[in-house]
Amino acid sequence: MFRERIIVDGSLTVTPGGYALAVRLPWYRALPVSAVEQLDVALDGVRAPADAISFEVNGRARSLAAARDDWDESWYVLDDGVVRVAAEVPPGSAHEVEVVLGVRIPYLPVAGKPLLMTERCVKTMSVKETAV
Amino acid sequence: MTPPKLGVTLYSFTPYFHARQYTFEDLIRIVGERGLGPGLEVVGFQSIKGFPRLPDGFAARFRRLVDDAGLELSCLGANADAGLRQDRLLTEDELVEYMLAQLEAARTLGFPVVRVQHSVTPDLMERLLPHAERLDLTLGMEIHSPHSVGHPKIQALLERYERLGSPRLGFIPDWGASLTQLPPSLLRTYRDKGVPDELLTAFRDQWNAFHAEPLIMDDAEQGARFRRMREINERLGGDDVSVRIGTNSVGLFGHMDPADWKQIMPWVVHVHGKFYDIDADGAEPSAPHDILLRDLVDAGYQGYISTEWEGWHWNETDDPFAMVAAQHRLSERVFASLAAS
Repeated sequence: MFRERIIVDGSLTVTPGGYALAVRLPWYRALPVSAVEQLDVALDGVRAPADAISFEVNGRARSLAAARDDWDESWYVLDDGVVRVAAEVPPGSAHEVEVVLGVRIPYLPVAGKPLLMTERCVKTMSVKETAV
Repeated sequence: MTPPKLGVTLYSFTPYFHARQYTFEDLIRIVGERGLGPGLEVVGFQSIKGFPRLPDGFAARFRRLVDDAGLELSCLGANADAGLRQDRLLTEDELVEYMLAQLEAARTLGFPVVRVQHSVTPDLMERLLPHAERLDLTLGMEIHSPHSVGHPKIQALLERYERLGSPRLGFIPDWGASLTQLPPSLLRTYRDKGVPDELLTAFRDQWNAFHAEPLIMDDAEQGARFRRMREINERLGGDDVSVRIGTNSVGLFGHMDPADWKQIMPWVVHVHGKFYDIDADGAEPSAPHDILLRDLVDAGYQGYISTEWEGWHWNETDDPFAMVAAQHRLSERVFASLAAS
């Protein structure tokens, strides 16, 4: 659902330690942060290791491992999530970004295991500006 | 004859809302202006940030907005998020607490009916009943594809309802559980997107084959059908986009006989008028409104039918407001012909 909306257009920034981008929830309603079971990010085909990625909603950044245990917070369906990646960014003003987002649908347990919905989005984007 | 009342769930307008094109408040106003009510249904976790917590003053502002739009609150869509945590499903006590917070929100917002989902077992429904009484709410278990009225989960609820005999417990039929064919726009849209005819035909033929089989009675059968669709996708060279045609067909488009809703009619407390297409004759090609509405009218049902357009899952060209309006016209035509007969 809404896979083309996962990567927010024009949201790619280069940071001192890497890069950042905004992502949307490819679903119709808010989900607990812990529903984010998979968040793969690649820039120009170079996939970031999971421990180089942080994920921020509601003004709080956490590692992907910490996100999985965070069921008290929710990611509202209209809010951007901010993904920050520690990485070497190759030169150039435009980059291909790939995000694979797997979210658990908490009310759809099939045989005791909630459905996992995985969506992939690829966009080539110009770097917006250098964020601090 | 007093026909059921029409209305809409804001879920029908999800593409606009998700795109931040219209706010929650805009949608309520537009539903009023375009005469798509009077019933208004809202999914709490969609429309309200922080739900089931409500910001200060939110409920009063919401009720004023609904009044000003000339609408009536029909149902709050609650979610039974048993899979809230990654490591395990919620315990029964946790799920009761989780649902109770949403019941309290429904009461504060002024909704008369709350939609609940199938992780709420008969025991949990019974535990929620005194709270429904205290909060003056009716709880409706949604019967959604791939479930059907004869599914053991639904039958177990029905038995419990009959034993408890409370008018505050009931069912919410979702017409997506009783389709007669795949929505034609589904296949058309993916053909236009370049999915090969051979693959589309194979998905359709498989859905039709499932249609001739007995209805799903447990989760293992549902899992097997998901796998069957994935196999077809792989065998015919499909990709991660086309696979959804198959898997969605198992999850969204149920095979129940539309006339079988009659079996639970006395317990219907709200209806999800799920639909996908309106054809050139103004009819719904997959959800036979003449049968679905006839049986509600015959049973004397006078509650709300929340029109729920879900075609936006693939259809990005039709305007959701226009689709809902067309479904209301269809419903009114059927009511008129029933009144005349």
